[in-house]
Amino acid sequence: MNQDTPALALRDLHKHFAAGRPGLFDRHPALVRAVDGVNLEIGRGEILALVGESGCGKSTLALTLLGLETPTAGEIHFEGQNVTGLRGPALKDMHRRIQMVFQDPYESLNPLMTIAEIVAEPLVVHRLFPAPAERHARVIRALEDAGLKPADSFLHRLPHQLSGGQRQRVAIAAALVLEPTVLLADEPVSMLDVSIRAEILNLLADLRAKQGISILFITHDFGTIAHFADRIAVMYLGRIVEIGATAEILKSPRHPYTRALLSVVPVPNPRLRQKRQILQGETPNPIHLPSGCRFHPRCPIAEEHCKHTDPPEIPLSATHTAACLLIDPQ
Amino acid sequence: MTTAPLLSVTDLSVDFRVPGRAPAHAVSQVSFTLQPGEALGLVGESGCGKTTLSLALLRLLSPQGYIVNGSVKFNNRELLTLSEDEMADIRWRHIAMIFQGAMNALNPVTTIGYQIGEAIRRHYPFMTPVEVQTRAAELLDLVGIAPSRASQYPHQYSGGMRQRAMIAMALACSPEIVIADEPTTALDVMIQAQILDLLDNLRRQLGLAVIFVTHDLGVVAELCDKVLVMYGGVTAEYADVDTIFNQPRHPYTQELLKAFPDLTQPQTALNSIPGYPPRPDDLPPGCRFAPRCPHVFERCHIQQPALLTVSPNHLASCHLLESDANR
Repeated sequence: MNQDTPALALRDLHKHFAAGRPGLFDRHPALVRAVDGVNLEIGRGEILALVGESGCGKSTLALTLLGLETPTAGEIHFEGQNVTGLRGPALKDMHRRIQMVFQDPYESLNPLMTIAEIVAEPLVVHRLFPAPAERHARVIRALEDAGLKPADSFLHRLPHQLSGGQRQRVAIAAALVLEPTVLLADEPVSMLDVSIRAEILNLLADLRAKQGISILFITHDFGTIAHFADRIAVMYLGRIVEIGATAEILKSPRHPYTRALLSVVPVPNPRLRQKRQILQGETPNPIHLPSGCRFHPRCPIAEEHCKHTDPPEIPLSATHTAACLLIDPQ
Repeated sequence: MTTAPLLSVTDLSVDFRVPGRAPAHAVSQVSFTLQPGEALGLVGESGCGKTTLSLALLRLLSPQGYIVNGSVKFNNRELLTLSEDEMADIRWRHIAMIFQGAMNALNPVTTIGYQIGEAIRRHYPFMTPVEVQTRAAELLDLVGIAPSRASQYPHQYSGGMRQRAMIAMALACSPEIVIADEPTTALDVMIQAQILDLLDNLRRQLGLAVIFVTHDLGVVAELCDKVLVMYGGVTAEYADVDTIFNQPRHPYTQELLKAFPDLTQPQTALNSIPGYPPRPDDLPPGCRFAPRCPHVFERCHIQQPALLTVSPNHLASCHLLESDANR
């Protein structure tokens, strides 16, 4: 397999939901355009951050990648193979390779199961390594890879006996036990104390470095990913509005939405209290998408033609694109 | 400029009864003052006692919790010896609180306008229903919600709007002090910025004193005048915001700052503090930060450090700072 093919590639991916059921008089209910034309590639061993506010479609995108939602249109390519609409055993096999780590380790672990049972469960579900000795060895290895050492001392404990950071490590171990090549991490540190967040981020970075795992890191917080992600994609109302290398996005954001998001990240230095560029209102309802550029109603610099023209993605460098009509491609 | 403090807390300690065991020391010997219009950041990680401390100020501790000693003076009046009725007159009328996650605790079956009116009716029983309604509308307007939405129910509000409604409720009786416990946790960055901006504007506009209870150092750096860093129920460090961020002396403050991402310094790697915060029912015998401290030495494990004045208006509790304090 060619190492240059991306781990995951999304081509014009759409996921629409019907808002309500079709009725007698209303055969065509309104559509929620949660994901509305996303093109994205995640390289092998790459950490890509997907940033956006609630309702921008980032979680729907993750569920679609996991195969838990079927895309309405577009394609998903996994390691060069078109996996859109896979079913049955082929889908299950792909699942094994794309694993998810959820936000809240206080809720994602079954409180009645021991750590050993939690980490072994994915193997049970996938009917892998049924021999007890082999299964045990894999659970131990996953726990150690997730930084829970010595793994033996955790096997018979229950989630409530662990700290938040340890719980999130257990959730990561349960993902690693299937030897995935892609991890989808949905706000994996936002529920943890500040002093232990870096531990979990460092663990994820290590997994990438040592095992070449690709990571899609979903967050609304630029601060967390600034030191960590290779590239940043900013999502707004179902679309990627800007994508680039982390340094490009942080130093020279070009989309007004990215600029606004960056300006409200609190800076831990009172001498640098900055003028926040606060966008009023909230992300509009994706049922009634604004015409033209979908950001124009909240955009501080919108012009008349923004109301009518949907902006194309404008290349700004080999790695940086932004979808805004007011950008001059240098 | 030394005006009499609006709120003066001295040596406040709170314990929790634990069945069959020694009481848990949630808050020990915490002191601070709050001037009119001042914004104080009460900072620390989960379990450090910051929420317990703020509930103790209002005497709203759960039944297992009790105040062991200390004093809480509001406008020179001791609150800890007031009768429950007298205390009820202070609560909300003078000191209001925006509770953590409270935007999810609104009553789903009454309108927002009615819920804001409840506090007004409690403290101003002579007001007519129309006057209460007018005041509720004013308050919604103040927090940026169209007064016409007073007749709507919580489920018709977004998360950010529910939090605005909670703020309107806290301001219902024009209190002098608002305690905001994690007012923006669980909100999106942009909504968080809107809410913080609102609180900051209200503070300036109404001359409110605000206590921000938070784990988010960014919020503190942006909004607060003074900062009290808590660890394991005790004061680790207490100083003005510039000192805390630019000349922190307590190792915990220093490490915590290194653990907080700073977009203006993207090249510096994030730091983590090994281990995890102590539980109030299982505190280390000496300094409570000793098991995680990078500068720990023998004495730290045996003796609790006193809160030392390392420079005027700058307090920190660390054995390493004794020579500075004695100078």
